[in-house]
Amino acid sequence: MSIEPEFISKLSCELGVDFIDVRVQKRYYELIVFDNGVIRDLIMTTSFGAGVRVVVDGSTGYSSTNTVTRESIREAVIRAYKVAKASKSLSLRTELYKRPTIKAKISSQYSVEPENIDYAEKIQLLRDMYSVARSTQGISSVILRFGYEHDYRVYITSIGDYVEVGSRMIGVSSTLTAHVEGVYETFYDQESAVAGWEFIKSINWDEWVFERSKLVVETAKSHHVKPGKYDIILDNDMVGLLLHEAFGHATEGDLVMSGGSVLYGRIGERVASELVTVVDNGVIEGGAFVPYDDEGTPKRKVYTVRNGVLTGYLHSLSTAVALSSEPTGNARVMSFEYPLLVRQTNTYMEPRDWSVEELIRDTKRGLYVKGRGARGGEVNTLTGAFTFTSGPSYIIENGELVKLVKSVMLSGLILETLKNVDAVAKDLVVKTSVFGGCGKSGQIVRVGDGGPHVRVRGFIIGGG
Amino acid sequence: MSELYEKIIKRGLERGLSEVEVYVVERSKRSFMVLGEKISEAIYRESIHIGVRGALGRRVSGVYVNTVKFNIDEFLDKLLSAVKSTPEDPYWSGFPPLIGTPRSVKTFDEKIITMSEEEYIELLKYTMEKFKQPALARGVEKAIITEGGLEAEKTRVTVMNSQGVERTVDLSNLHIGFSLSIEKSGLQADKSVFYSKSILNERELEKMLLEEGERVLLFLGSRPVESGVYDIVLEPLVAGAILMYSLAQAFSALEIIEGRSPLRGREGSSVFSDKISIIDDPYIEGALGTRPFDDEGVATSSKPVVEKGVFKSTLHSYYTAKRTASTPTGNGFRYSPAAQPTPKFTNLALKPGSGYLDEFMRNLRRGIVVYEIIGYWASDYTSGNVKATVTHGLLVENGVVTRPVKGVVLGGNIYEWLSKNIVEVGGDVKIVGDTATPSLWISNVRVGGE
Repeated sequence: MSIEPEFISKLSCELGVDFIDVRVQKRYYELIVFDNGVIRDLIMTTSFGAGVRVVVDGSTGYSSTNTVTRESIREAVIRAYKVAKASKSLSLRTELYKRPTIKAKISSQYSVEPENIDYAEKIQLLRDMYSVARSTQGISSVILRFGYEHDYRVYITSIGDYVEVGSRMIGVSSTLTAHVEGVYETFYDQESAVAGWEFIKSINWDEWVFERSKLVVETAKSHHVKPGKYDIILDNDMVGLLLHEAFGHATEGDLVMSGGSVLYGRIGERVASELVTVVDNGVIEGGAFVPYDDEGTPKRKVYTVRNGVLTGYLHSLSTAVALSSEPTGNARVMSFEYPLLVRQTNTYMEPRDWSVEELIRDTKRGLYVKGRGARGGEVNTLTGAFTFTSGPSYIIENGELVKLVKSVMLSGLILETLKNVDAVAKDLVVKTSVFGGCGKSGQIVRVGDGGPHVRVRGFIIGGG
Repeated sequence: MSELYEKIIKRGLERGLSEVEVYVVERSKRSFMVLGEKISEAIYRESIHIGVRGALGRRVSGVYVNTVKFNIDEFLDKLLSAVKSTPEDPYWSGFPPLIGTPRSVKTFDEKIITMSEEEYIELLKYTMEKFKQPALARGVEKAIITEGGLEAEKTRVTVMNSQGVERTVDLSNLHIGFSLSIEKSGLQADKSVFYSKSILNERELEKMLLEEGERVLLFLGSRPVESGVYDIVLEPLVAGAILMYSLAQAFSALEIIEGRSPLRGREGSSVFSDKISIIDDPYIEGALGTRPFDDEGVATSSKPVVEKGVFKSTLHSYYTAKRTASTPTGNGFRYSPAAQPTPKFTNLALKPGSGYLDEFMRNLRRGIVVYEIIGYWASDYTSGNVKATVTHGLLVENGVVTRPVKGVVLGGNIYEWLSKNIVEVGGDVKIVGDTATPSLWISNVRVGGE
């Protein structure tokens, strides 16, 4: 590649701008969709290009190009320069945190390159799973997906940064529909990892899909839970969703600095029970791989909540300055064409000392809320209301799981819900997905989330 | 550019493919992102997305690239390798020939995409001021647009195939959206506004900004209500969002064939109250789903999907139409340029009844009027189950608003809601994105709350 910091620096001097950065990205994505025994889609996606940001007199402009040459980068920089200049009258004055220059190169670990595996082998994997699922009585539809992503990014700035990050993710998902006694029930689940083909070989997928097929048929026969307030135990997946929605978004520095978060100005305040410690970490087993953000800042482990007290926000270089803090490595883009936003990486709760069995045994009446089959969540950070869905879950009576119920929707308020956590288990699990991620302002980025099992008293539940 | 696409098709056939299809999206976009009433980022970008699908007998695959500078033979090597590895689809009957005559329909507003940077910024300032205006006129202590922005986009969609299809359409989109936060007497409230159209209508935009800006004052001090069964009145935008996620895809022929729709085997029978009529309408001026032809080049048509409660017609792509010996309906759309088109609504239009939201509110004995929801996308068209959390609602008792509501969960089933539970369908249709829906009054809805 012919784009070095020196070239960008020269462009910066030539135009008389404060700062230029360039994000070069090459992404390969492979998706196979096996729909009821037929290949619905086998798609190979290749995208390549560079996004540029120009800061001129404190005003920020972006542009992009899908050919990466010195000439095309120069043209993109001039386009970004022009839009930044034109918007100056209403522009937010951007000041970037001056951190030391970074030069780094890192890639996620893998053993077997998935691109070298024949499509026939990948299709056979899905075909075998299909046979198992379809032979389960009550199953009316089976959609299976194989996904693989190789994302390579280079970050170059006019002040000398040059950071290369490569990441490989792989996974399989299933959408199973049961039709039992006139009732339809659908169940989605997936298993992904930052890894190569060896991850696929490490799982017994026939068993995996069989368990899920049985579960969706059973769920079709089950009932909705009565809406109301419940004591709940959230499993590892659900805790991740809860934290991501209930706290994660509201700690994102861009929302905080605009006054768009109920957590604005609350550093040092108690926002959760003292059992709750929330972390945003770029690299953790099971999670997404974000060792550096898209501003080249090393992603550091951030405690947003420590023992129930709000201790920090997530930052980019600009929000760190605006909120008198330090960058945390949370400036991210979906792809080179998009502008930077402050995003979560892997959000999870730190474990404590309960075992899962003890937690269930200690709960007289309530709901064991399971994440397998959940469809994600959403938050209004201004109102402080958040919501997320579960997969099929279980009624708890006298310390035992007594009945399967259909998936529920949970709702809470950011400043209240986590104050009701009264027990945290010791079984930390974090997960990610190659099929989706977190959405914000039209950009989806890969994230991970999780935690140990957690009990929350008096949670609002409804839906369905 | 079409020479390149023709070349890909020609070369694909020469390389041994029996059929080739090229689908291209060219896009130029101006965006102004707002934080705290200031532009945090100004963006100009152009992009091209080329999807090529090839068939060898009944084996079909696709490849996608985001540049015009690529080696066609290497690109086709990848496609051929994938096609040869793909098992036969027994139902495959080829890419479509030319079907129907696309109707002339306005999908493009020159005004949206030819403004200067300064004019976009003036529009941005004007819309933020208008949205704040009602709250400021009521003497709030603080009113600030916390986030939002403006996006103006020009898109050219081209579809070509080896069966002789060659069609192109230009589309424009304008998205303006903001969140407003206010404080009054120690209480806080917020409200969002979202204008999403293919044609800019200044008068309509101003009306929407003032109406939504006025509403923010209603939500000061909102809290959950008690759990129970309530009547609910859904504001048109909320009604549209719920219908899209809990129902729309159930009319897709693919979902019906594959056993993922409760409408399977029910065509011609009554599925809703006779108050409900739903149209697939590709000709609504300003709606984002308005199209002369679908992603396969098949001409679109306006058609009743549900008429007075009776399920009248299924939405088809070319693939599903051939598979079921039906006629393609111009509803084949794709989630990726190289993906197989699957049936979807162009615009979902719920035929208006009479009355409007405020009138329904006055007639409510005890219920919740719902203005904004989150999580509605977790509703499930396969079962019809509705899930949504209310962030902006009003509790109404004996026709009078008694307090604002947030953080409660709505639950139910869309087939029950639109049959035995539907009380009124409003006449107050609003068009946002690809829905055109009025207010809905629904009785006996399960609400999870305090």
